[in-house]
Amino acid sequence: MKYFDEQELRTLLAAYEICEPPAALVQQTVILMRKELARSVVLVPDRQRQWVMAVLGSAVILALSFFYMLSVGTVLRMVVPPQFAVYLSHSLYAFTAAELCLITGTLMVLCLRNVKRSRSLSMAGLT
Amino acid sequence: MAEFAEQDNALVERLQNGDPQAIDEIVERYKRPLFAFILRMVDDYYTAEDLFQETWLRAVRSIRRFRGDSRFSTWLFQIAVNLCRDWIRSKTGRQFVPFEDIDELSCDPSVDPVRLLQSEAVRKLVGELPDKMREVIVLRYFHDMDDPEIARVVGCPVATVKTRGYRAIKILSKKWNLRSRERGGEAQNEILR
Repeated sequence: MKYFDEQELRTLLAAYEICEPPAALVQQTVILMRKELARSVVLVPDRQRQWVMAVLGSAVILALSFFYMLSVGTVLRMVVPPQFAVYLSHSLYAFTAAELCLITGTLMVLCLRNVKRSRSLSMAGLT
Repeated sequence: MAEFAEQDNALVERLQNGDPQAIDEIVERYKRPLFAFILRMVDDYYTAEDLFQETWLRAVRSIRRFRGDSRFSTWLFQIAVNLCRDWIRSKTGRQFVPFEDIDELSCDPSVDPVRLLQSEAVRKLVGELPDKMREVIVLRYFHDMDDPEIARVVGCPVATVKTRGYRAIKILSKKWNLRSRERGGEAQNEILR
């Protein structure tokens, strides 16, 4: 039994030609891909979603800390010497400021997401 | 070759940034090889159309996860291979449209009918190969991929690709010789001349 060599096989297979896909199919595919691309931009990208979750998580933790400061701080105020009371109130302000920053950050992410969504939709010609 | 891959990477980056113009360019580059690959794998024109579309949609859906560890073409063909495998697994009992009934298959109306018959003979020969061997033969001889790249596309070791290729060539040779003997050999051997 004689087996094909590389060249023979290539010559043989060259007879099996396939033309381009129909233009209508390609066009329809491109339209669907554009919609899909716009939709994938609309969906929060993984990294951005993780960031939002991190910010929200931190905000919750800080809210708990704030509550802790208010309640435990009040107790500490009664226990610690009066010269340390100023540190307690400063830390209370610091926590409030940090929390405000995190909430602002979260709002900014949400706004930017909406801006990006409308931009991608208009780029894809879907608006 | 490297320049082609660089252009692919630039297009992929644009896609990842949500640029819809990049879609037209990347589809234009790969529409022919991808469609030909799928059609050779599934051997059914209308299914090939569906899988062609589905491959692109899956590609665009997961484009953000493409990190450039392999070439874009390798990644795209991986998606196509998986879709073809899924379809082949589930094809039992489906109705096939004979190739002869599909006008689009003739690229050129003035195409030589003898050439069409030869093409049909080779198509049947390739179509009769076991699926995993067909993947290797199609990628190696129709898409000029080397064995390491085929291994990445089909998800197996290079040694397995070599074995599958070797066995496929044996099967093809055996069937071709058998067919030649049955039909007098003249018409079929025209192809090899």
